[in-house]
Amino acid sequence: MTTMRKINLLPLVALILTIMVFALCFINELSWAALEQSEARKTVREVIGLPSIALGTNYGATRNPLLEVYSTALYDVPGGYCYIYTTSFIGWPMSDPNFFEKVPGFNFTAMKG
Amino acid sequence: MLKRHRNFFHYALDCLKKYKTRTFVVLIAFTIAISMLSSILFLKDGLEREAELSVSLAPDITVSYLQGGRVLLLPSSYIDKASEIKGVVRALPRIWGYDGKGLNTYTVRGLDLSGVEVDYGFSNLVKKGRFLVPEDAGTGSIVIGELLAGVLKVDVGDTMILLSESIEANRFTVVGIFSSETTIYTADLIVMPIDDARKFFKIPEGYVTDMIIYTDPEVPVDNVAAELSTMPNARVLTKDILLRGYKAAYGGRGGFLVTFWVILLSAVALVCFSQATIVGRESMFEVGLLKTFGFTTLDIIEIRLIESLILGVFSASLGMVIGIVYDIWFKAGIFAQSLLGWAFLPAEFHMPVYVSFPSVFSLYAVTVLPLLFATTVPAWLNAITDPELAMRRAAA
Amino acid sequence: MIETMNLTKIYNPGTPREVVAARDVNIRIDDGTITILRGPSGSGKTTVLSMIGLILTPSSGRILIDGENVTRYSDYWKALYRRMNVGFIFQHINLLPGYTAMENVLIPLLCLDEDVLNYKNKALELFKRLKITERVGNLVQQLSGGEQQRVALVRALVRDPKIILADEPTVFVDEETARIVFEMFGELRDQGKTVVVSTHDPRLIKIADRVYTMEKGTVVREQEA
Ligand SMILES: Nc1ncnc2c1ncn2[C@@H]1O[C@H](COP(=O)(O)OP(=O)(O)OP(=O)(O)O)[C@@H](O)[C@H]1O
Ligand SMILES: [Mg+2]
Repeated sequence: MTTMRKINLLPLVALILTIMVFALCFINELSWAALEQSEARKTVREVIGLPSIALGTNYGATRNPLLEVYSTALYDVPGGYCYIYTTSFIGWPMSDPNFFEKVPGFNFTAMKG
Repeated sequence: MLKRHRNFFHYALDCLKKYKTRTFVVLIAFTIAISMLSSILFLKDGLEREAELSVSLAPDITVSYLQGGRVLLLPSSYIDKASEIKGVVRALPRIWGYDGKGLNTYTVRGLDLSGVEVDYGFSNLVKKGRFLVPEDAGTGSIVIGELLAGVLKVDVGDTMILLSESIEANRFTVVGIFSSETTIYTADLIVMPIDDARKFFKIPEGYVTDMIIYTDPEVPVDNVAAELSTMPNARVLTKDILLRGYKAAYGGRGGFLVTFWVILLSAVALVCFSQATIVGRESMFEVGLLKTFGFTTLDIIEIRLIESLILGVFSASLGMVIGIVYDIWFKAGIFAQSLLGWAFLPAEFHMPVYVSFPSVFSLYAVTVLPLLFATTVPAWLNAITDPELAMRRAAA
Repeated sequence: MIETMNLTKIYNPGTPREVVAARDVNIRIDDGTITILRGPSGSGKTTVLSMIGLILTPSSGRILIDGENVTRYSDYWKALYRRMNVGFIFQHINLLPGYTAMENVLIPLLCLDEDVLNYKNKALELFKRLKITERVGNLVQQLSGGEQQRVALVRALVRDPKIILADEPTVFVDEETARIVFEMFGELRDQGKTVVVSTHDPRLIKIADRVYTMEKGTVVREQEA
């Protein structure tokens, strides 16, 4: 049976891809382990004491919308403070068309020194 | 015994080749679904793990001031009172807040430099320039996040003017840029001496935003927290409480994933349905014929299992590789945006990606199991009817 | 020896479309003989042949193989029995489309715990005998009806089964090939195989050991050579 004898590409590639997935999984796990041991991050804790992830937002209320939209739950730690909707902010600001306009802006300039 | 299984393996491969259209459709559908799902899942896992890590890095206790249930400035006297409590190693005042321009928001953090030991290992904190020293007080020196420096195109030694809430121009000089390793926390950060931050935010003397407390590991944190709670108007937040908050936030976001799972499952149902109709009659005939030759029901199921296993593993693995590559090298583009809703993600920002074994296994499970089901159940149903009837029915 | 006792098959029982395809069929097939089933179209030849081959479950009655009642044996047992003993040649040929002639011959062998390629030479021999050697690499749907029927013959014979069940095996082939086929059946009988054929061909009936004539699902005549 001619075709039944040929080395088939599909399972071979499937095998290679599966090995790749697990290799990536393993490498990723290692890099996380390294991050957990990171001295620089420990220093951030000691010196700056910031608990939240720095995802910039496109509105002026929070540092990390994902975590901080639930500002009640997250309390007022840096990044968790919502000074527009102080408490019990539930729902997407996206649904409020005027939301962005209501955000008080800051003027911010930089120049070469 | 082994030769039979090898024969079945080859036959299963031939079937995949024979029903090319079905193979192709299933492969494409599952690969797309899995690459989307894995991309999102790995991002979610990454954020979750990063959040846990960040909480583990957070100060042991944060104390803020409540009045009428709302957060106000904390009187500085609280810091001295807190320092006297047993188990408190250090109580540091904090002044921090937000500042921004246009669509971007930045975090300004005032640091009490007298409170930190200067000979700490600050060299790993900055990748360029230096960290703040007590002598920087009043000079307008700042250390900024790598991302911010990139966006604003400023470097060590450059001057920047920040217009504050009270519409007052403040001149600052960048003395250092945070290291890449800490970007996840410091990307949008501007750190300055505490009195400069006080001036910037116009916070009156004798008040701070809040305070952070590092406790003696020997003393239970809850004891310290209980002690702190006796101070009037104090809100005491331990790491545990913060973590619970984070978890709640992530739980809420699970809704996103539920949507994607539903989409995936309906795609799977569709694929299974179409494949059943495409190859149903043909495979009914095939199964009947194989049975007359002496294939047992178990043999037939084994062939179909091999078929769908190869198909499932192939598309799941390919999908996951695509998902990982997309997350890591293409910074997750669209998915990160939709996953984070209205978050502003600068191009320079690397999302945390966590490819965890449980997620990988669950992704294999959602691909392979429905496929196994969709292929083996009809095969089994055909295999338990009389071969003669099965063939006749297929031919009619 | 295969015997049937009051073998009955009713299709769609209890519905308006009920068909009694076989009723109280009693036939006896001795080892090493050629047995013929004949009769008009729709008389139940294929039905009886299928039941003898254990690929159709009778509604009632018994099938005895070497005196053992196998009618209610498990599906698994029947599959193994077919695998080890029976070669089928179907009226509708029933080749698997999408595979070459050679592949079609080898596919039934996959369930054996053997390397199917061991059978390739045997298959080529049979192909040669039936004069379609040059077509073995073609996809079966590209073959003519007669060619397909010959492929089906090779498929049934390649693993040397003890029992050959052939349902009108020569309707599509030419005179010359039909002659070769009958010759082969004769040889098989000489080798001690059991051959059961449903046919109208007088040439085969001439060399048969026993002929059953069916009509409307019942055996109306039994002739012995
Ligand atoms: N699956 C079925 N469902 C209902 N009726 C059936 C089924 N299979 C066969 N029949 C009927 O049973 C009767 C006997 O069919 P069978 O195929 O055994 O006839 P046959 O003698 O082989 O005829 P032919 O010479 O045309 O091949 C026919 O009337 C046929 O219509
Ligand atoms: Mg018939």
